[in-house]
Amino acid sequence: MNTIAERPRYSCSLGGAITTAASVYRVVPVLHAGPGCGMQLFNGIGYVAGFQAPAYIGSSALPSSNTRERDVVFGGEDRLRNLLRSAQEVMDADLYLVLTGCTAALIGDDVESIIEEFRTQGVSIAHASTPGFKGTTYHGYDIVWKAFLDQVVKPPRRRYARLVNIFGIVPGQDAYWQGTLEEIERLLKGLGLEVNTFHTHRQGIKSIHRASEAALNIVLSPWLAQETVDTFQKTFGIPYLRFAGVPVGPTDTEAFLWKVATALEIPQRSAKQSIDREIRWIYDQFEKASLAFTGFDFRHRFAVLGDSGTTIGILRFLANDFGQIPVLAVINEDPPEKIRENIREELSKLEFVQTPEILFTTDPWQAHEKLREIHPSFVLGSSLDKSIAQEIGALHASVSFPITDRLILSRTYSGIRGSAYLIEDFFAPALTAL
Amino acid sequence: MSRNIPVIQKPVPTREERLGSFAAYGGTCAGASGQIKCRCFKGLDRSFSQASVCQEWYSMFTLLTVRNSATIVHGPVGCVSSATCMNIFNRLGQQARGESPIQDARWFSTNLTETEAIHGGEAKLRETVLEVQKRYHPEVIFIFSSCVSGVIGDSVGSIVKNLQKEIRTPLLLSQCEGFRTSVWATGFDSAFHAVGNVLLRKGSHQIKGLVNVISPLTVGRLDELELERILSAVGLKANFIPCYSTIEDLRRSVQAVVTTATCLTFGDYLARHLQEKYGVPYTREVMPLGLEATDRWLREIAKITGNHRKVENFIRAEHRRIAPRLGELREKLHGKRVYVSAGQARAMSFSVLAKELGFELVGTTVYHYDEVISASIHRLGKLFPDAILNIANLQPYETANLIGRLNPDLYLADEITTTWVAKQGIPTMMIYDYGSNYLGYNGVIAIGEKMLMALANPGFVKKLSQHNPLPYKKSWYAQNPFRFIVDSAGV
Repeated sequence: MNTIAERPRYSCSLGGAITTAASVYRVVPVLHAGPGCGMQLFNGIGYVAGFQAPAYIGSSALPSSNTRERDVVFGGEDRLRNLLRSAQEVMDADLYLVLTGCTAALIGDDVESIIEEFRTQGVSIAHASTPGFKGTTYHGYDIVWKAFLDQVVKPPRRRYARLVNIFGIVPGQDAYWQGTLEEIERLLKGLGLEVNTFHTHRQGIKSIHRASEAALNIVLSPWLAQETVDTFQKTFGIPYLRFAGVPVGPTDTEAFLWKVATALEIPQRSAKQSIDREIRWIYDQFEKASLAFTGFDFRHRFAVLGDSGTTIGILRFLANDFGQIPVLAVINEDPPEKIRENIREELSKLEFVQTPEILFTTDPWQAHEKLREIHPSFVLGSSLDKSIAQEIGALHASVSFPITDRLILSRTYSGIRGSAYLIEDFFAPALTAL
Repeated sequence: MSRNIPVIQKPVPTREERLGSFAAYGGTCAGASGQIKCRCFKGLDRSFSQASVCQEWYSMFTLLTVRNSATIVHGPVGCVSSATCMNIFNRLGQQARGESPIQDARWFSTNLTETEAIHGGEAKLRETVLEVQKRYHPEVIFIFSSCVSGVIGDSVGSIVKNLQKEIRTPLLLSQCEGFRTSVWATGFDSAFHAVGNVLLRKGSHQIKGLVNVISPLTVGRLDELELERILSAVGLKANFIPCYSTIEDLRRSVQAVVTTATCLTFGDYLARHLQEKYGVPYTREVMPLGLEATDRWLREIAKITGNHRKVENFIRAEHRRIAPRLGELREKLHGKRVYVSAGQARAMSFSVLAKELGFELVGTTVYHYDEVISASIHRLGKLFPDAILNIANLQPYETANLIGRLNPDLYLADEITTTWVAKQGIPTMMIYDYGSNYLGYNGVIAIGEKMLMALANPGFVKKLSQHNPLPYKKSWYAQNPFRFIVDSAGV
């Protein structure tokens, strides 16, 4: 993705690293970075992911070396050493994760040795090199997990046959991350599983420590976390299941749950009982929705713009379970070339309708030109796709980053409950004037 | 064809160099005032610091909403991230002006990656400028440099100079590498340096009664309307720049009779430029926030425009008009202990406002200090000698410690800082809310009403504080809050 970026739908790897680490309860990211990186990335990620305030730590509370000219010339190692020493008097943390930004990386500070000094003193500390020029928010997520695996995850004391780890949701970059992880957790608990989401219910550092004791890794993205799950497999013998995205709605969620249940050899009867209960619940919601669905003749030629995981989930649900007509999918997070065919395939496996046009581009200019050409009647994208929706006379809902037209707490469009919320919000722009 | 458009090749001096600015101090208002008098008030540093904002952020913030413009950040993709957040204000501003359809601002990153970190970013800056030109044909293109473009040694000045030879659209370069300054206000200067030197040129004639009001994006439409009301009552017309301005509004500024600023911290550089280069005088008073401050702001303008009698009559009438409600508010706010955190102009104005609205100032955190506010600090030193004065480019760990000690009734600040103080159970009030009125005579009343509302029901923050602590050790609250403010040689 070595092209210029117009109104980018993601931030840099430092940003992704901060949101990923800071949403593990009581892990405190320490920035060895420029004076503005911390706030630039808070205002540029959490703030615009549905106005999410930092949880325990984040935004202006992140310890940061705030590199200045002198450090650029003479090196910033002493500054970092002082910062880490003082941080222990102030910050209440289970783990300090030092994240190096562009400046520190370019001037070549030897951060590793400093980390080692503190580690020797018994400080719970780790390091990830996350200069922004190395990649996007998504890469920041992967780099943090590599650091966790190399430096934080403990060797297993035993294996828990019912414990699973969830990967592939980047907090903040996925504005609905919390609700989505909670819904996945809820569904898997229904199968009798214990779930390491790492980021919900204050699971904290313990969930990272014991990630090696899981029986299965579940990845909810067509490409993220590959190195992570490979390492888990190689080092701890934990197999993984990759899903093309977060399942949305009864069809995909049912398939998801059966796949997990089969992989973990959960007795069929108990799995079926739990899955059937979910399916009954959602069809009861569809039943309720049928007044609006049939009464308003609510059928749209719709477009979805977002990262591959979100787009696949939402598009397949609206097409397969909710009778809508997909006309365009814009995948905007620059997934690796080699998995693009898989993404196409996922977007093509539709039961009743034809495959929509699929566009891989990080460039909203191109995406918007395509919207002008195809003229959908409903655009599900980011808040930055609102104006173009208005221009072409389409309805709009914010489903992908950035989102500035609603507050997001534990809302989700994923799984069973999330698909009901998606239906509510799908009708919202048409009903809001009534 | 564009050889006559001048190009900025050298960065502006930092605020530290130009105005003796700094961002680390802890003491009392009287103490700081005394030190300023004996000229021993000097910049310190921190051996523990938290994330802050860089000058590039504020430089972008200064110009992003100029109409029909495009913003390019020459850096890695992360350095343009906050434009999405600033675009919220951009949209709110258009909505408040009744515009439809609402347009998003246009921002771009040259997206520097590892390749450019080694080979330089010139080609990408070129490509971006030409592509932006092709896509949108903006009237002006703003280019902001970043830490990375600085460290890898891109000579942005000459790159832009060469590009300008090829295209007609003025290229305004703000050299705002974050690491160059701890005082983010330098970013305003970098932006205005470009506006002043590239965009402005001598106007044909003075426009009678035209007043430049330099105003940042955080000053909302209701404040503009209030200032418009005040200025038009005395026969003057406001030219608000640079936010939501057209290029014409910016160019017209050289034809104004006087320049004023809602926040002189923000407008200082451009105001000086307009005076030095185009002979438009400027007023040096702090923001027209508070009764007395608004009086003085208006009188300063009158000194230049010469409509004294009108102004004095208007001031008397306004005071009479708001007196009854002001009296009631004073009674209700009497004795309320308040802490204020804000940029220097706003922090000073809100602190002085204590006298008018009857509350007590227990402390203030000012995001940085420069000479522009020394008079205000003396005033505070007299009014509230023992109140805390903390100079900090955010640093909420110091705030947390202070709030723990002072336990104020109300905390006034921006929404980033209020997030933290709310977790200490202290009712907060946002003082940069785009939808509120703070300035002018009506602003005094509006602030008082807003404070009463903020005090009316502390339920949310009280309960939140019982469940979600701040990320600091308990022992930190017993330490000297300024323990990590040290002589810069020691860091």
